[in-house]
Amino acid sequence: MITAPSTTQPCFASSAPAWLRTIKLAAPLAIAVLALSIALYVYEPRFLSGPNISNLLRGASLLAVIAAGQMLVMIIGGFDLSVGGTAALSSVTTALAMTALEETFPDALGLIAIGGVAVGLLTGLLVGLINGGVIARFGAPPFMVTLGMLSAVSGAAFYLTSGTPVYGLPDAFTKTFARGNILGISSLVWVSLLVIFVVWVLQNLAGFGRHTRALGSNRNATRLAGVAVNRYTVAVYMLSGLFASIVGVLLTARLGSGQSTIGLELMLQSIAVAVVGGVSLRGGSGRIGGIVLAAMFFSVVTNGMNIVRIDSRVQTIVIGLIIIAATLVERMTHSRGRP
Amino acid sequence: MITSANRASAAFATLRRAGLRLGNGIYVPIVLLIAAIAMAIAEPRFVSAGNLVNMLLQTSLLAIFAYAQMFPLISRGFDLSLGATVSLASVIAAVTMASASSLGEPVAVLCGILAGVASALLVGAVNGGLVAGVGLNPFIVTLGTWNIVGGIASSVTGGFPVPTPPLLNRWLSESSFLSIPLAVFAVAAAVALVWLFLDTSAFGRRLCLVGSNPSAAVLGGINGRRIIFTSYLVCSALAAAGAVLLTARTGSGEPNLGGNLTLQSIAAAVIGGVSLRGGEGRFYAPLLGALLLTVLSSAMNFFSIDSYVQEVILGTIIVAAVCLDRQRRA
Repeated sequence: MITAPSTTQPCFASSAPAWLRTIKLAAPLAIAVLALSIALYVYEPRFLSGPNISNLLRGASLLAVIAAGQMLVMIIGGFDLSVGGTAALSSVTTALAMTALEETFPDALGLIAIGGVAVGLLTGLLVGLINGGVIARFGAPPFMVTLGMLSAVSGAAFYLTSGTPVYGLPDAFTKTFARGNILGISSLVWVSLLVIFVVWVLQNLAGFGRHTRALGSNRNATRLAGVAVNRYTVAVYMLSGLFASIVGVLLTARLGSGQSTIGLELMLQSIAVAVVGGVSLRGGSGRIGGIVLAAMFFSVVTNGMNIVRIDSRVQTIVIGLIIIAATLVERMTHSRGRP
Repeated sequence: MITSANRASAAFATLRRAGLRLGNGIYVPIVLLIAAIAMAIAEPRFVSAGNLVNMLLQTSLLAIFAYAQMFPLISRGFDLSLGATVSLASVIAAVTMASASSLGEPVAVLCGILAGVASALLVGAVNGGLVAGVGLNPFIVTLGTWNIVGGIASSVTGGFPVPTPPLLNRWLSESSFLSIPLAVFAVAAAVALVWLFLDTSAFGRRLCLVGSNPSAAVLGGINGRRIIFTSYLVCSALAAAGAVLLTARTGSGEPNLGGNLTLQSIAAAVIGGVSLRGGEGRFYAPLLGALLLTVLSSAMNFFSIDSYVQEVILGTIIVAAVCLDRQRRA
C-alpha cells in the first residue's frame, strides 16, 4: 500500500522505521523455523547432516521461486492458479525441444541445452502473456482465467507426452548442471537465489514495486495517477509464468526427464507459502523476504514430518492446519493494530 | 443490405435486452442450441435415446455440485473444499455401511447415508464458522480445509476404496422411472428446493443482498454472519447428496471421488452465470452451465477427441465464457 508520509496517515503506517516493521512481521516465522530445526536436530541429529541440509535448501528454493511469482500476482490483486500446469508444460516442452535438437544437431551440446531451456522459459512467458493479456484486456476475473488456463496447459502437457516421461536429455543438463555445486551449494539453489535477488531488486529499487502495490490497493486511482496498469498486469503474469517455467526446467534437470505430472502440488503450495509469508489476499502488500522465510518453513516442516515418519496423508492435514492457523494469526495481529 | 444489417443489429439488441432481463447467461442457451443442432446433424446417434439419457444423468451429477458451489459464491465466498467433502462423505458412508452391516442391509445403507451427510455438514460448519464467525478469507479457509478433509478422507481407509452394499446401488443407481435414472429426479427435486429457497424465501433475498452489498445488509438489520454460515451448510448438504449418488454409481466409497469436482463445480456455476463477485445467481444458472459442459464433452467424445485435448478445449471455453460475460456487462 502506498501512503503519503506517515505523519499524515497515522492509521496506515506506524511511526517505526520500515526495517523494524519488517522484522516484526518476519520474527514469528523465523523463530518458528529455528525452533522447529532445533527440535528436529535433538530428535534426529541427522537432520543437520550435509545431505539433508542441501535437500532442505533445494526444496525451499524451488518453493520460493514459484511462490515469488504467485506473490507478485497476488500483490496486484490477482491469482495464478495455472503455475503448476505451467511448470509441467515447461518441463515437457524443454525435454521435447532437447530431444528434437539432439536428433538434428547431435554434436552441439551447448545448443541443445540452451535451446531446450529457452523453449521451456518461452513456454512460461507465453502462458503468462495469455493470462495477463486476457485479464487486462477483458477485465475478466483472474481466478476463472487462470483456472481455464490450468486446464488448458496441463491438458497440453499430458497430450504432448501421453502422460509418460520424456527421457534422453543431455548429460550436460541433467548431470553437470543439475548435480553441480558452487561453494558446496547446489546450482539449482544458485539459480533460485538469482531469481529471488531479481524480485528483491524489482520490489525495492525500481518503480515496479511501488506501482504494483498501488495497483493492488486501488486500480482506478493508480490508472488515474498515470501508471500503465494494463502493461503492469501483463508483465506481472508473465513473470509468474516465467518463474513457474524456471521451476519446471530446474525440476526437469533434477529428475532427468520431462514430466507432465510435476506440477500437481505446486499451485496449492505456492498459494500456501505466499499466504504464510504475509502476502495479503486483498492485494497491495507482500515482500520477497516473507516468501523466502515461509518457503524455508514449509521445507523444514515437510522434511521434519518425513524424519518423524508421519504418513503422507496426515502430512496434507498438517499443511491444511498450518494454512488456517497462519490466517488466524494474521487476522488477530491485524485487528489488534486497528483502533 | 443496410436494412438486413439493421434488422440483425436490432435483433441482437433485443437479445441483449432479453439477456439483461434474464439477469445472466443469454450466451449459454444460444451456444447450447447451436452445439446441439450441429451435433444432431453431424452425428444422429448424438440424439439417440441412450445418449440423451446419459447426458441427462451426467448433467444432473455435475449440476448438483454446481448448485452446492453457487451458495457460497452468492455470499461472496468460495468452497474449494467441496471435492474433498465429496470424498469424505463417500468414504464415511461406505465405512459406516460396512460396520453396520449386522443390522441388515436397509438399515446399514440408511445409517451410512446419514453418517456421510453428517460428516459433510461438519465440514460445512467448520468452513462457515471460520468464514462467517471469525471473518477469515473464504479462499484460504477452504484451501486449508481442502487439505485437511482430503487428508482425512484418504487416511480413513488408508487410501483404498471401500465397497458398498449392493442395495445402495440398486436403490440409487439402477432404479429408474420412465427409463430415466432416479438420480435425475433427485437432482430435479434439489433444483426445485433451491428455487424455492432462493426466489421465494426471505433467506434467498437476504443471501443476495449480503453478497452484493454487505454493508447495506448490515444497515438493513440482516444478520450477515448467519446467512453466510448457512450458505456453507447448504453447500455441504448438496455436496453430500451428490456424493451419495456418485457412491451408489461407483459401488464403493472412494477417497478420490471428489478429484476435480471443486474446479468443475466452479466452472459450471460461473459459465451458467453465477458471478464470482457475489450477490448474483439465478436458480437455473448452475443447470445451464452443467448442461453446456456435458453437451460439449459428449460431443467431443463422439468425435473421439483425445481426452487431454478435451481438457485444453474446456479450459479455452472457460476463459472465453468469462471474457464474454465481462464484455456483456461492460
